[in-house]
Order: sequence, then structure tokens, then C-alpha cells
Amino acid sequence: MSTVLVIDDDRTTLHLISHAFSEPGLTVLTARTASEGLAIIEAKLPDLVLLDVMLPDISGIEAFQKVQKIDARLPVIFITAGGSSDTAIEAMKIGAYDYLLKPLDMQRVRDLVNQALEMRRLMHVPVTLPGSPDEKDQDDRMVGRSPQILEVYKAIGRVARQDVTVLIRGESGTGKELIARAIYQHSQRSRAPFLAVNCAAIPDALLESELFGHEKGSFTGADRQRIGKFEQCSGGTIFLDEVGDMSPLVQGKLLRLLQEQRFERVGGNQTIQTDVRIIAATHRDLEAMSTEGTFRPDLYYRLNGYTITIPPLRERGDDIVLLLERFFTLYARQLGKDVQGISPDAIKVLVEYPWPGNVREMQSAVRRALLQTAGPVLTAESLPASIRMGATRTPLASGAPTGQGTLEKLLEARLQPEATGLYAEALEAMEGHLLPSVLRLTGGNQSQAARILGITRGSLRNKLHALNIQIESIVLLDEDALENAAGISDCS
Amino acid sequence: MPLPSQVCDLSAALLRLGGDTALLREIAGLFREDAPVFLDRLKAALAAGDAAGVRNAAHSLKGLASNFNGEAAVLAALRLEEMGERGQLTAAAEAVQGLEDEVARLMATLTPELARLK
Repeated sequence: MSTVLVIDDDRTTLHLISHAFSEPGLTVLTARTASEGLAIIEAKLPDLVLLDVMLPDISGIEAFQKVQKIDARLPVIFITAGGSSDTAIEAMKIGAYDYLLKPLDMQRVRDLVNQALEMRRLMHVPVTLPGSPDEKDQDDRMVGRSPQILEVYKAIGRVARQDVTVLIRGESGTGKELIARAIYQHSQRSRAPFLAVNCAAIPDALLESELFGHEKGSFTGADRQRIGKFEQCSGGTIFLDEVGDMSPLVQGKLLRLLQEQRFERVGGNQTIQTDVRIIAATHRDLEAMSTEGTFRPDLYYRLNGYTITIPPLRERGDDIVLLLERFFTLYARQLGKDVQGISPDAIKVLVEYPWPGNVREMQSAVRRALLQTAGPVLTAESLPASIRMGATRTPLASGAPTGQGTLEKLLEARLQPEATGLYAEALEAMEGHLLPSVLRLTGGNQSQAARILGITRGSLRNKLHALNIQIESIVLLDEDALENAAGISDCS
Repeated sequence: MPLPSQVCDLSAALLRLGGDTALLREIAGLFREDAPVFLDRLKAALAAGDAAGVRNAAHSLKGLASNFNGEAAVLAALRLEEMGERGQLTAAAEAVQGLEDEVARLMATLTPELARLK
């Protein structure tokens, strides 16, 4: 359950934002003055604050500074009306998360609030290691006792408190983000902000601006100055996921940042000094990319100062069973399923499966299997078909049903008087079919797909993440299909 | 006499609200209740020579009117907000009257425009 606090003397803003998040799972608190809002922050510890730039008692900037004193990691989104966005831009220089322009667009409000809440979760939800004394049930837990994963835990312990760049390597779905958060949470910067940027999810042209910011008029559409993540997060930690997917231009700017902690905004002359710790991650082979000339060798050496390599799940031995138990218990409770255990035949299938999509694929498979389970035991029949058949790839297929008739099949299996949560399940089945279809059409282009779907890119990304749909696998699968089709036509 | 379309644009407003006419009616209700309160605050601040108070009340009115794309009222409020920001209130009395007129016109237009929405 997340809590959002809106501070604005304009009741229409309070009403619109409360209305935007009227569904269960999120509480919206409201205040009409800064002093009232600050008292609520101290008493209720919200996860996010939306703050008007101009309040009756003190200025928005002053209010923001007071919020930061209470909790420097509490994301603040400024609300501003045209003409006064300068204050919001100034606030971002000193660490505000972002700003919303009045009149409020409900979809934009939802997207930005969800993004900020996700960032708050990454900072705030503790990542616990096995045996931590204060381990709580809602924590994000690292599970495993295999020698390979114990090495990872030790590496986190060794490097967390040293203020150095860390490179995390591992296949997709191995949990690189979790390791990055564990390092941050055990670092000397743990009281300062943490921001995550997925370099592969943002088009090249926008990534530079996202990281370094831009000046007004620096390119078509740059109608305002924008503050980048490296400036916004000074004093904190930035997690650059999929760092191997950066364009050469951004690689060059990042190298200078790592060397000097300095950069210029896009289209700007002023040199900005910052102080960020970088944790980078990739599933790519950066050595090979350096040799091929697609990744700067000097940047590779800078990033590679301290490397943590996460083993793929198939090499983690008995951890597979421990993780299965963890996800089974977690999701059975979350989904309100009274399932007592996993049948031996299902365990056999799950242990023998090679898990090409690693831990993330397992999470998704267990969740889906639980949704399909009507009886007291999770059986092999309820497992996704690709896992039952021991497919060696396609995290997509395991994460989301494809093909027509999915909904009919789901209803056939699940439409019973005692069923629960069927709406969410049906929606998930529909999205699992719709999103890959659109992404195949666009060749993996997320912006185009978002436009076709009529949702924002952020919203699309969130959905893909939730459904464990990996764009690479969609496009690769599609290419395979094309190759196969070509093969058939050659034969004929 | 400007056309009502310049006073407000409810189709643009609805687009931002995901087509939720009930929600638009609710915020119109809040506007009717709160705009006079902010206008009173604005006048009181002006009478007291309180430039920051003028700026704040005008800013709030600007935000309220922007919900309905009430451009005429937004511009009138912005003018006062800028006067307050600069601390120059010599022409403010006239500007307050202008804003009050625009707010009244927006209110008068909202009722029939909202009634037209399904």
C-alpha cells in the first residue's frame, strides 16, 4: 500500500489527483498549506509528495527544502502552471523528482506518479540477504545458498561502502537490479536518492537528454530547459541498467562523467559539476563489443573497476528449489490462493527446466501456474506449456500466453463459482497477447507501439515488465519464424 | 464580444480527463465555490498593498480557470500574478476588475456548456 500526499491550495488539483488514484492499493492524502503538508509528512511518512510551486504560507522551494530535511529520499513532484515552471526546473536542480504542468492531464499524472512510486520502492523496500536479523515478509529478498551466489553476497559486502563504480554482469532476469539496490542500501549514500535508468528502454536521442539534461531550444521540441538525472541526483546513486546499449555519443559523455564528475547539458556551454556514484549493469559481452568497436574500451575499463557477475539460474544448483519455495509462498499469499504445495511431478519439471529467462522467468511461471491452479496442489498441468515441454528459450512464451483462443481457454479452465481475481487474470491474458503482437508489428519499437496502443511509453514499459515480456525475445522469435518460413519456401 | 469558445474549451478539458464528464462537472462545482474566495483574497491583498498575496491569489485563480481551458481568465490572472511578482501594483486595481469579469464570464459560460455534454 503506497501513500501519496498532494499539497496545493487549489481544491480542483486535490480532487483530480484523488480521483486519479481512487482504486485500492494507493491512499491519497491532501493538504492546502505547506505547514499542514509538512505535519502530515512527519506523521504519516508518505511515499511521494506532489507539491504546488506557490503555496499561501511558504514558497514551494522552501517547502521542498523542508521535505528534504525530513526525508531526502522522498520523491517530490512539483505542480506548476504555465509561466511558473522556472521554479520547478530550479527545484529539479536540487533534487525534485519531476514536475507536472497545470491544467493536469490525468494520464500524465498517473504515469509520473507510478514512475516516482517505483523509484521510491527501489530506494525504500529493503533488499535483504539470507539470515538478516531484521528480515520482514514484505522485503525484496535475495534467496540462495549455492557457492556461486554466496560469492555475490560477499562481493556486495566488500564493495557497498566503498564509493566506487560497480559493474554488474549477468544474463537477463538474474536480478541485477536487486544487487544494485543492495549495494546502494548498504552504501554511505543510502540516505541520499537512488535513480534507475534503463538505457535500452529509452531511444538514443532521448537518453542523452534524460541523463544529462538539455537547454531550451537545443533541438526541435526542446521548449523548456530539462534537468538530467546526473544533475538531479547529485550526492546520490544512479543505476544504469543495460549500459551496453548506449550510443557512442552517450558513452563518451559518460566516460567524462566517470573521470571528472562533470558534463554539459545538451546544447549548453555551462559545465555542471555533480557527485554521483554509478552502478552499471549489462547482459552484454562488453569485451567483445570493445573489440568490435561498438563499446568504447576506455569506458569499459572505467566501468570494470569492480565487477560482480551473477550466475545464471541453471548453474545455481539447489537454489532453484529454494527460489521455487519462496515464490510459491509469496504469490500464493498475494493471490489469496489456498494451495498447499507443489506436486512431485511439477517439481521435477521445474527443476529440470533450464530457465533461460532466469529468476524473472521463474517468478512469472510460478505466478501463472498458481493462477491456473484450482485444487489444493500445484500440478504439472498448471505450468506454462513451454516449461512443461522443456523449451530452451522464449521467456516470452512462459511469461505470457500467446495465440488466439487464450481467453477462451482461460475461461474454460477458470470460470467457476469459487474463482477469484478472474478480471485481472483475463486482462493479463489479453495484454500478454496484445502487446507482443503490436511489438512484432513495430519491430520492437516501443514508441511506435505505445502510439498504436494509445498508452504512454512508460505505461507500456511497466506492462511489459509486469508480464515479463522481453522485446528481444519477441523480435528474435519473429526472426526465427521468418527464417523457418524462408526455409520451408526454399524446400518447396 | 468574444465568442464563448474563447472563454472555455470543454472538449480539450475532457480530453485531459479521459472523457469523464462527471469529473469535469465536479471540478466545475469546486471552481464555482472557490473562485469567489480567491477573488476576495486577491482584493484584500491589493487593499493591503501585499504584492506576494496578490501574486498567490492570482496564481490560484489561474490554476482554477486552466482546468476548463479558460484562456481569457487565465491570461487576466497571469497578468496580475506577474504584477505581484514584480511588486508593481499601480495598475492592479483595473486588472483585478478585468479578472473578476472574466471569471464571471467563465462561470456563466460553464453552465450551458456543461449542460450540453452527455
